Amino acid sequence: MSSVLDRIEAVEPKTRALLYVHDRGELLDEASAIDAARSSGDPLGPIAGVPVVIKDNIATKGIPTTAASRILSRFAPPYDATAVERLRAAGGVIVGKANMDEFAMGSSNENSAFVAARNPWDLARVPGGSSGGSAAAVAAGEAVLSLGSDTGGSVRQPSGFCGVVGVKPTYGRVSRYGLIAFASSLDQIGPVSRDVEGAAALLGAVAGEDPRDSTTGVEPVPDYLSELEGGCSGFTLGVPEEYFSEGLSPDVESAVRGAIDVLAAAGANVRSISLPHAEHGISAYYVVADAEASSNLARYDGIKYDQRACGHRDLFDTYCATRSEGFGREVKRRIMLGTYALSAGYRDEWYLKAQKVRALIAADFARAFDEVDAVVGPTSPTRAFEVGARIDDPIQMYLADVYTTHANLAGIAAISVPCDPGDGGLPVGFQIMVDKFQESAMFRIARAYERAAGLGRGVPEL
Amino acid sequence: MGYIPAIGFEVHAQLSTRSKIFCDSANESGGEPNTRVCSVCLGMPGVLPVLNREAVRLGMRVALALGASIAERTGFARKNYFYPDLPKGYQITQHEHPLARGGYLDIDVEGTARRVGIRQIHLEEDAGKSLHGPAGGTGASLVDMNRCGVPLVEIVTLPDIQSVDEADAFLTELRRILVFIGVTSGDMHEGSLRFDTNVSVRSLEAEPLGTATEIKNLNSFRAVRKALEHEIARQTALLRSGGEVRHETLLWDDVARRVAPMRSKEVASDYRYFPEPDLGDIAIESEWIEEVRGAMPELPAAVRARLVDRYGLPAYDAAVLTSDPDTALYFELTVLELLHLLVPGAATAALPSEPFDVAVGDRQSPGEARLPEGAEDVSDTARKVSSWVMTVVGGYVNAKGIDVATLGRERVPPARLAAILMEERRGAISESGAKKVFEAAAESEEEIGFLIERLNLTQVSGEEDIESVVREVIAGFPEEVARYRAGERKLFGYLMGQIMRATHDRANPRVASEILGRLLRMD
Repeated sequence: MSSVLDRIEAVEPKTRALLYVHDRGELLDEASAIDAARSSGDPLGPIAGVPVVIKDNIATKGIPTTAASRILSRFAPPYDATAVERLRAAGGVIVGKANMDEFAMGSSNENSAFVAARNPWDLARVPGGSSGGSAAAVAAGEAVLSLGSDTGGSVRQPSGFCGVVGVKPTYGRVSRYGLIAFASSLDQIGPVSRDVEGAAALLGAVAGEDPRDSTTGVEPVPDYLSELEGGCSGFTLGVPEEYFSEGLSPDVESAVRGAIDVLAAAGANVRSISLPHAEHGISAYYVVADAEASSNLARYDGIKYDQRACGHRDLFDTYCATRSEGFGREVKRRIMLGTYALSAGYRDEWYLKAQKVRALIAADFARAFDEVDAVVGPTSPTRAFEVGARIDDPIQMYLADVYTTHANLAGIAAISVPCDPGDGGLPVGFQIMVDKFQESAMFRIARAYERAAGLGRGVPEL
Repeated sequence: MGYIPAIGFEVHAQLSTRSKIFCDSANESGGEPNTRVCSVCLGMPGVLPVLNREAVRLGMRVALALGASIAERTGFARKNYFYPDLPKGYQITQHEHPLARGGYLDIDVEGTARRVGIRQIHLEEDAGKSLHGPAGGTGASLVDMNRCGVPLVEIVTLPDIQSVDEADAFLTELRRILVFIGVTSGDMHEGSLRFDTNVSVRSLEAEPLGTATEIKNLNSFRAVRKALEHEIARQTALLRSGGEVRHETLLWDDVARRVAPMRSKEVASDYRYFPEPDLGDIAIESEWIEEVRGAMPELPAAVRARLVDRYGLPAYDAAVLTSDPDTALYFELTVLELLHLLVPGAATAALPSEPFDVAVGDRQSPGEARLPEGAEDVSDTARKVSSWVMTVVGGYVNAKGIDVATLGRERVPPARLAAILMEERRGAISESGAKKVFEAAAESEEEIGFLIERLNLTQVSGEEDIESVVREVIAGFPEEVARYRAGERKLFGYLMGQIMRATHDRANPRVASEILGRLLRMD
């Protein structure tokens, strides 16, 4: 524990991965209590004593939970998210809250209202987003595990950029109770870790039905760890031709094709498949996500727990001023886009059409999973880009999610594992997608790759 | 040229569930502001709604009572608008997939049967309350979130109502049904029942409906009546003078008793509905519908019909007694108890022992209890009890500010009232004595017989005893007796009064008047 805290002290000024670090004394007490329990032979949870950071849009009782927004800068919830409650019950020790794009809207962490986190492998580059703080913290050794949230790639894309493992579980696998909603039909909490085993252990600890979230699945949670080393032989992997076309940078393509070869050599069958509606994913995603966001963010109106603009006598002026001051540019852009997409006269053309595309994409995957066990490809079209490179070009920024939104739209599970970049340069993420509630197979394939590739990045110097 | 209105309603009724529709907070009224709230009904960041299935069950009862078809799949939607008493910035309601569609309610308006069609029935959450004005002298507006998340059923009618009287009859009968089936308290003072109305006027010759206006914020039958009268008159005058009605939303001002257009900022033109992603679709299996149907309480129309058919009550009495389920139950149980007492040797009436302890919607109907074999004069007995329940019992609960259920539970259960009426019937006490016993019985737990003794109300029926009193009175009032005999017949009543006074009301009036008449004719 103290080594993690020392590391945070040393590297945090460079990574800016965390928005809050818990009191050192309390954390050391907590750690020694767990040590004492261990030495006296008490039963311990599967992640007992492991230092974890929690993305700052996941409620932690009595601890600031700001979603990296000015409008919640003074908010500390009186409740733990269900995932946090389960993480604590499994022995995880929460050392701090991770930086992120404001309300999880962004792919670079530059939309944090407080400070932009940096990629620990190259501080001039972004860590990705929106769970950029989670991925950067784990990569930099500031935590062993992290819980992030993934609405359109927000766990997987930064994990790929930072060379760590990130999981977007099946929709309904992890309770959303306590996750500050961005797009409720797409949001999932997911683990970030240095290796597949860590992600499997953390997901196993937090997953499962929750009476406080009606959208959680009743499916029992398998013991992911016991099946982890089962290998990948007998699995059929589908490689969608649409994922290897225009826009994919050649270095990422060769790294990902290399990873697929590794799995083939380890016993997996590989075949080409087609996802005919894949190209419309990004458009459908941004319409659905922003529509839901425009409603989910309506509650920040300056009347209750949030920051209120002063000096306005009229109620509607107070609303306008509060929300103009409290939200950042990207959040306001999305609220406006989403409001537009739901408005009378535009709803059919935008929101309903996007829902139809979403159904077609889900059907594409359902058809694919009739024939293959997993769909594999790149996590992102490029490696981590430079800070400031895309912040003024929202379309370029949105394209960073081109391969990740599909899993959210279809409600399926996906993992990003670091693959061999081939050139010794920045990390490249390799994505493995499986059907709903097939996380066991997903972890097995990811672990088979990890073992066969024999990669070990360690932590950056900093 | 004549004009005729077309009126429709949106009726909101708060459902009597124990907890709110999407969280565990208590669903009650009254109390300090912001004490029955939790992170869910306050819409704190990250919390999620979980549907209370009891609200669905009560909504299904409403649908069945109105003959509506319950959807196989129903779902919720978000209605987006900003207001301080709406903590999430949207209301969870139903939009494209309401709980039920169709149905109707038959009403009777001065002997004419009318049918009002139902468009749909759906569930939603209530909002909080904004308290404006001088709050603690600060002039600030305050918000009370206690009401946030209270379950509502909304009943939307077709514009089938053609007069203010019909509107009144419809709302009265609808309220009665909702109260009888136990889904709401129906208490309008506490806002358990609220109305929005849409009204248009067209000339009698015109086929299509005219342009309607909507009037919101109607919280009593009186407000509905006033607002409709006002708006129908306004629209009629406008049309007569060649003007056009503009579609607008009006707000009823209950203090000024007039409607005023809502400020444009208060009228959200576009609620941007979309399916609520935090709650999945709800499947309603036919087994569930049958279960609810099987436990369906009796509707007021059925109780009314039984009071007429089985007990021979006039329609007027039946209507008054069924204005609320407690009074109807109190009446019917009292009659049944009394009929059993009147048949010598009949078994005691096997009626529920604590009928008022059971929630209205869960009560067993007394219609299932049999009349005792050999019961006679059922109609006379029922009329006697009806008169008592409407006047004596009604008067007592009004004076004491209690409800009939409390009286029936804690003070004078139906069996006790039946015992009092039995004493009167067999001549042991006079009618005025019976009323005294009733009031005493309401304040004490003593046996009826003991109360009669204690109050010294045992009626004197023995002819010899009464005759001696009558003779004393005749001797004591020679002038009045002489004037009576000279033809001033109205003095008979005066002399009777003296007899009753001398016996402290205990003389059997029938016996006393016979003797007085006989003695006055002699001599």
